[in-house]
Amino acid sequence: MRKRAREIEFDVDAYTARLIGRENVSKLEGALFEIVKNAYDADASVCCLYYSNTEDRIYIVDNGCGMKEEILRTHWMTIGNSSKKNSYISQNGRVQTGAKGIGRFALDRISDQCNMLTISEEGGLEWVVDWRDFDGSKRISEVKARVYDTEESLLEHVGIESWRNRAVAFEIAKCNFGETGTAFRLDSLHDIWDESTMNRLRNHLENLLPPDVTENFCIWFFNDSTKIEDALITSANVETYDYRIEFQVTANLVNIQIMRNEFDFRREEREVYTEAGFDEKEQAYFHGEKREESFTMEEIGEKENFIGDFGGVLYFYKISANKKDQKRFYYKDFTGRVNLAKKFGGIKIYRDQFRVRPYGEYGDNDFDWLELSARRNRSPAGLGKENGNWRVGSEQILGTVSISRKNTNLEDAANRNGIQEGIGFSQLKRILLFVISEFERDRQFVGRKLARYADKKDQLAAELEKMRQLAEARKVWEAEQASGKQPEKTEKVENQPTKSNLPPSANPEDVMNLVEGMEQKQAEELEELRNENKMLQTLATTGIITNMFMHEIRTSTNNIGIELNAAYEAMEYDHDVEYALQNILRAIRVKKNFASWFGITIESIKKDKRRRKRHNIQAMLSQYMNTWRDILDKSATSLIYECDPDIELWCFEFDIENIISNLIANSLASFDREMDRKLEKREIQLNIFRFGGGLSMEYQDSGWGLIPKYKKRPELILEPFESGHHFDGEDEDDGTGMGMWIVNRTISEYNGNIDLSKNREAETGFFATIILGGQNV
Amino acid sequence: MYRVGYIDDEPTQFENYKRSLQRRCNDLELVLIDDCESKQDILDKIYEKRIDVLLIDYKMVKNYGFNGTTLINYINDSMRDIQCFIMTAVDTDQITDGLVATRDKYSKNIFDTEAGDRKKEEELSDFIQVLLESAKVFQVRRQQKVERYRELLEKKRRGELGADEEEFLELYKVLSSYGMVEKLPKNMLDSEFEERLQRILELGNTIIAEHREK
Repeated sequence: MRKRAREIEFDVDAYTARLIGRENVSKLEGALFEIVKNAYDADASVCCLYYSNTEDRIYIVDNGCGMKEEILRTHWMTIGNSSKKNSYISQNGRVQTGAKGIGRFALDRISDQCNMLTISEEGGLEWVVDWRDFDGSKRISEVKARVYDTEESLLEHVGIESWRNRAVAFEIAKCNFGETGTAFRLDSLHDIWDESTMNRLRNHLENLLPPDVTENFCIWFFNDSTKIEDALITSANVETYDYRIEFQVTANLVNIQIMRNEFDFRREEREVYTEAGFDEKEQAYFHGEKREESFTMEEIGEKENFIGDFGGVLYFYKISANKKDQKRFYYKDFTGRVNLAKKFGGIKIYRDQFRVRPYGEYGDNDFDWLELSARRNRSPAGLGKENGNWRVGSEQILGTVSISRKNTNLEDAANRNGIQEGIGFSQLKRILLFVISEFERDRQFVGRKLARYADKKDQLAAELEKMRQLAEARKVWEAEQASGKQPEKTEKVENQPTKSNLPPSANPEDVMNLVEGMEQKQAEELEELRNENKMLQTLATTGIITNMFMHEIRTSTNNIGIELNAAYEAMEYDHDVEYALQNILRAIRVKKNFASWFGITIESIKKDKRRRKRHNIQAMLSQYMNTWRDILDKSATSLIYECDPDIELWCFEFDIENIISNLIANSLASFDREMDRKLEKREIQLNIFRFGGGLSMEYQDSGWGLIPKYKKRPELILEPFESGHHFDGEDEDDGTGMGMWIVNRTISEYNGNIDLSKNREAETGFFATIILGGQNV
Repeated sequence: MYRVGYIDDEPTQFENYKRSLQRRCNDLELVLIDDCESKQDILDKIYEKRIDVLLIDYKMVKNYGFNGTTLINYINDSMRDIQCFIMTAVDTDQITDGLVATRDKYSKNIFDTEAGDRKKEEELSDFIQVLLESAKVFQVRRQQKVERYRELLEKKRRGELGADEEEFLELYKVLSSYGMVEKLPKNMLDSEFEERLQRILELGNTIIAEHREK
């Protein structure tokens, strides 16, 4: 039996209320977003955020409509109650974006103490709160904020006169801070507002609003040292692009306008239009006219529009293309482009001019929320490909999609992170993908025509195409013959016999010409590659030789320095001119040594040595061997060199030099190997004589011979990265392991061979017999 | 005056180094050790010229058949207390045979002070201090060993040297070379040794004979 009926009110613990707010605004970026959004919703044209480094305080001021006491009491002070929930069009016609009534907790996220002045048409109110009052075990109704009437102006409240950043303060003062608006002073900040925080927030603010909003709403964000030009936030924008795709979804219609800005035919314009087959309408698109298309929902495979009206702008922006494609597709010059996706983001959603995070946010999982990369992986075809669709990459396309709170089925997710998944969001994605595929179709339409034109220009490719077509036709003909059917009328192939009873076949002369042409082209390409390869081998040899002489080069450099320093000291301290002169003369002598080394290294890559011609070997090597003799002489090594006078060889000069240089480098390394006794003599012998149509080189040295590792199988030294050098007493091999490999490569290019078998028996010394001959001779 | 020995198979800069050292430190004299064929020749020259500290070129294979680090290993086998430094034209970290500690390797470039460059002068000055200190240490150690040598010499005269013979000979070689102890007649060193060997052999024979009788 019930007695004494009464009602007990629910209440909320103050701390819990604060937690709810914090859950919703957990990041500093989010807090700033709420503050700017409130200013926008209040019809402000300026929102200014200033961090004073000297005071460690934040000033925020906007010139919106302010709040009346009634609003302050019933909405601002009532958690979860938003004045924008039911009526969301501002006096000036803006669609207000807030609705949850928790935006004010953004202030709690930023600081402990908050002092607000809000001036409405009814006058000014000062509101003071310390968020720490919500701590402890108080009930929400026990927490009080103080409100005063005041006649202070907005700019007085923020103390603009004493701002350290005078330049920006001057600009702010010029803004239209008239009668109404709201200003905050925030103290006891929770974050360290250093330059990196400022930069992070600035980038966030740049992406907060779409570019076209800044005309009637601007944001200033700065600290004591920010320059004026950096203080005014300009929305991240796309200034250069290859394609611009605008679209509007209105009721049952999807309108798309595609603008090409990617191609530049330069002087070939007329020729390309004619040969590639672009009609007048197409030509106009290349000159800036928009290609407009319109589709009904049914035509794009949608039953009905679940969302309502929306639109957007997308940009195709490539940052790389290989040279061949640049030429083939007549791309406009796009050098110097940076990855805009990093700064601008990908495809971003704006709801009533405010960013809906995290879509398109670079680095976030939802950057590629349309899953363009996976789509491209499924269809990786190139632009000019006849079969297969070209698909845009996720980092190549960026832009904005504008939705509104008026749209249905596109509600914010409860955690304020994105849009609720459901039929609306799925449809939004499908429509966007349709718009994107329209652009892709247009671009590939152009690409295919240009690729065909490029192929046509390439005669050989055209011939090949003709043969391919003939082969196809022949296959069809044979199949028909086998099935006993009468041949159907097939597509006419050029040169195909007109009599339908004859099998399609190629003209033998055409085939011969084609094969010859291809062989020639292949030979040219091979020659080019071979030359490149030779250049690299020579550069490698130069490196090996330089490394070989590093000790000598360093010694000479040191000695020049020491002689000059000694000359200086002799003059400065002893006034001994005679001694100083001797120093200088010795330095000059050392300097001369360099010339010989340069003769072997730098000279080896001279241009004329890279031309293949018929050489008299003795004449060709005369200067080169003299230079080696000089160098070897300095390291107490004798060179015994002989060459038959009548050897003629069709060769590159640096090929023969590379062989000799690498052999000598190995000998010198062997001479310098530390053993249990002194090497009796340092001698290199090279005899070159005529052998068949080519030549034979007999090479030997008096060094310590191959190390035990190679003694049994000397041919191993011809493998790449095999090295037995012990320069400078290092424990590990420090030869490059490339020298003998280069020798072997060069020999095989001349259809020659190398015999190292004598090294198996010889106790000391290194022996090689090299034969060069064959088709290159 | 301390004597800094300099060993290099191509000592073209010796005179410049010598002047540079003398200009900065009156207590050091650079002495060239040349005309040698082998490591033993070099060691003998070190004794002969009473060297207190050594600078040795690294790359000497061409003229000597061995490198400076191997030579240091050999010298220190006979003269444990003498400090040897490697001088090289290449980077010191390229010498990786592990025979000499990194702190004992210097670039020959250290003598190039680039016409009074402050930093270079400081580096050379530090190096000279290291040489001076090393030479002093070697001298102090030699002096300390004179007493031990005299003790061993007394034992030798009493015919009680035994296992200390080797230590005695080493000390004698170093100290007599550096003029710190009087030279002994050569036959004294030899005859004593032979006598001792004879005694040991006789003792051995007696033991074997006794063993057989049992």
